[in-house]
Amino acid sequence: MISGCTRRDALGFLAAASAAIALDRPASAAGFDWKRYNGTELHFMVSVHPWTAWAQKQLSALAAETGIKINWEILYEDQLRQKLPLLLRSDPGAVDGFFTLPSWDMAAFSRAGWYEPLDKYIHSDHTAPGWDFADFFPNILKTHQVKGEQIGIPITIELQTLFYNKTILAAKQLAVPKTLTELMAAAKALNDPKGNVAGYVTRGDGVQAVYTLAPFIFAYGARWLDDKGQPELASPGFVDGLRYYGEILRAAGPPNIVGMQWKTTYPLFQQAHAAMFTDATNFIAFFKDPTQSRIVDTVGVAPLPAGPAGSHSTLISWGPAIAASSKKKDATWLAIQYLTSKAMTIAALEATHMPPSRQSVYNSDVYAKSVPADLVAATKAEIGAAVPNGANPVVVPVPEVRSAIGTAIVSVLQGNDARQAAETAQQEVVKILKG
Amino acid sequence: MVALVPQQPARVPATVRRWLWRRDWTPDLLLAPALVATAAVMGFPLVFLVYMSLHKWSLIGYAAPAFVGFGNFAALLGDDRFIQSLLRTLYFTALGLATNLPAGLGIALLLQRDFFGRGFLRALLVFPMVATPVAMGLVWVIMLDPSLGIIRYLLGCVGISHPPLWLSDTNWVVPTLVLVDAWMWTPMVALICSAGLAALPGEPFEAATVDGASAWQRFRYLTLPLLMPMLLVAAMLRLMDLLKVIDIVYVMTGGGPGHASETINLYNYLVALSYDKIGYGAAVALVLFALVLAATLGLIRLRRAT
Repeated sequence: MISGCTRRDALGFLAAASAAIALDRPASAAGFDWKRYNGTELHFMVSVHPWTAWAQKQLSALAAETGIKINWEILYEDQLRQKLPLLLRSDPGAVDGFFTLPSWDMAAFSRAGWYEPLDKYIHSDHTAPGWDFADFFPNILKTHQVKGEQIGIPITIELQTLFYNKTILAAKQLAVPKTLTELMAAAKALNDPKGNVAGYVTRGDGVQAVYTLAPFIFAYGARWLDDKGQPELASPGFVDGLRYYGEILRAAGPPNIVGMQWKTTYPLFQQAHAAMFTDATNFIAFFKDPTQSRIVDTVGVAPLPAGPAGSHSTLISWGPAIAASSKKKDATWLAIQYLTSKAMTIAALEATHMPPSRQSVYNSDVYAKSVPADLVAATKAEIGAAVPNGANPVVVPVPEVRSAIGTAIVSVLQGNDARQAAETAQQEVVKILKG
Repeated sequence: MVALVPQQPARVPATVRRWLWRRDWTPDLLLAPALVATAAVMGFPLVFLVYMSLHKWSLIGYAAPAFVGFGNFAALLGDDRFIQSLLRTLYFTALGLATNLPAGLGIALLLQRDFFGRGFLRALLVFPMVATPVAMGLVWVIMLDPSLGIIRYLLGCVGISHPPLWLSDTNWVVPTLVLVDAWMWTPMVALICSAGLAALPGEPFEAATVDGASAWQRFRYLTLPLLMPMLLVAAMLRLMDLLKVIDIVYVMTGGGPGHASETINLYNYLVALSYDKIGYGAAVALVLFALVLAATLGLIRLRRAT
């Protein structure tokens, strides 16, 4: 999410950009030739995202430093998912680089052979000495790996956290919940239908809610798929997580929870009509925006409450990848390196406030100053145990499988039996995966 | 051994030759470019759609489409989600026509009278039509929200403290979407009816008034029958739009809760472009095409009969 660009942001950005140039030049001095693909033109297809908007502004600097000119085509996520496969399939060589979300794309794109394996570039003289691959969080690198091989470079961390309204919790003298039992008790205690305040809110739209359901099933020890890639949706942990999700939202959610998408859940919390909210860390931008939020000073962030199997957020990350059909792979890798270097990661953080995937930047003062301290603490606590690409089962037909699981979520939100709903979803997903 | 006898070319009858020679081909030649362009623009996509519907077709990977004959159509018969979306679309269309036509006619009859602010009201009526459906859909989502929306507040002011959960209740979601659709498109019906009313001859109404016909009798036996051709045009336009509805459904509910508001066009979109079943999606599109065509032809025939 893009927050408004303030004077402070602009100054910070300028400082970071200067740092970028300063940091990159020693690499050239050490013998790395950034101009080796001077005059090359590349075509990148990316989705609308704060990072891609920021990166677009760096293309002129990239052209000056490397001589590579990039046609940066930005599309909405849905459009990208329709147009990119068409081009990759029908016009090999038309696309050199693209933006990928492996939790969604990885199974299909790797089956199709559309990802260029990156290890041979990363561990060779194609990579600048100072780029420092080891600097990325190992757990985040896993989100962009197929059988251990890197297929993309993760640019940010997207976890889920618990957001809470400090004023509403303080009024009832309640502590921030640390376990699912405490979360249920607090949500019920804070729920005030007459005062038009829900105790707890998260997504209730089936397809979208697969993402927010994930930490609950992980907290009960379940997983989406078994080791053979088959669905594991009727396991006791899955049923317990699904049941909990239905119970808490039926007991303490807003009356119209069934069918609520993120675009209607976050405004409830933002306008102080919900006491607690779980979703992606990115939502902090909406809550800290004084032009639209009523909780700028009262929003708190905490790690997701733990269940019997602990607290496990989802961990997803967008990032650039090279098209296997590209005829300019080396130049594409050079461009990706430039945009994902340490210095550029700092610049991107200054502009987007999104948690960075590089440890050195994540642990720096720049990050600590750009987001609230409790968000830094919450993400630090979560990142080690988070499930890479856990937002949904990583299978080829992700949308269809999400729809089937979503039907189970809607069913429990309507008061139906969780076990029955989970077993139906299991049968449905098995059928879908058989094709 | 067969004797080789030279074949005589078939003779075109003299009368046909004369007709061909004497006929003025100018109109046909002038029309030809338009007909060719129409066939290319309209005909080719349809033919290609039929071709796709006979294949198992995926955009993921490089595998060529596999011919499956009528397998996609056979699969539709066992697809409960398809059948439900088809029935729901018919329900949506019936409700839409039942609200749009009477309301549009009523508004047109009111606008026929001369009153202060009539011109302003007519201009105001156009507003929902020209507004972007996606933007208006989002506005309605917020207005209908039971916690943040103004609808609940307004209903509370008139004593309705527990209104339905418009978009979350499976029984209410389709009627609610129909109401939003009616808010957008009833003005178009009203404008068509207004044009029709303005063109009605005055004499029959004067004669009926002299004969002592009541206002209801004049409406029932004069206005309605005389306006019927225009009403059928309005019905035809709305019918086509309602059968194909997708925009407000996609924006306001995404087809939910569950699949409770999923129309056939939305299902078609999801199957073809989201689930990567291009051939199966083409089969759904052909069923929708046949449905729209049959309904439109039925109304055209009805219009001719009137």
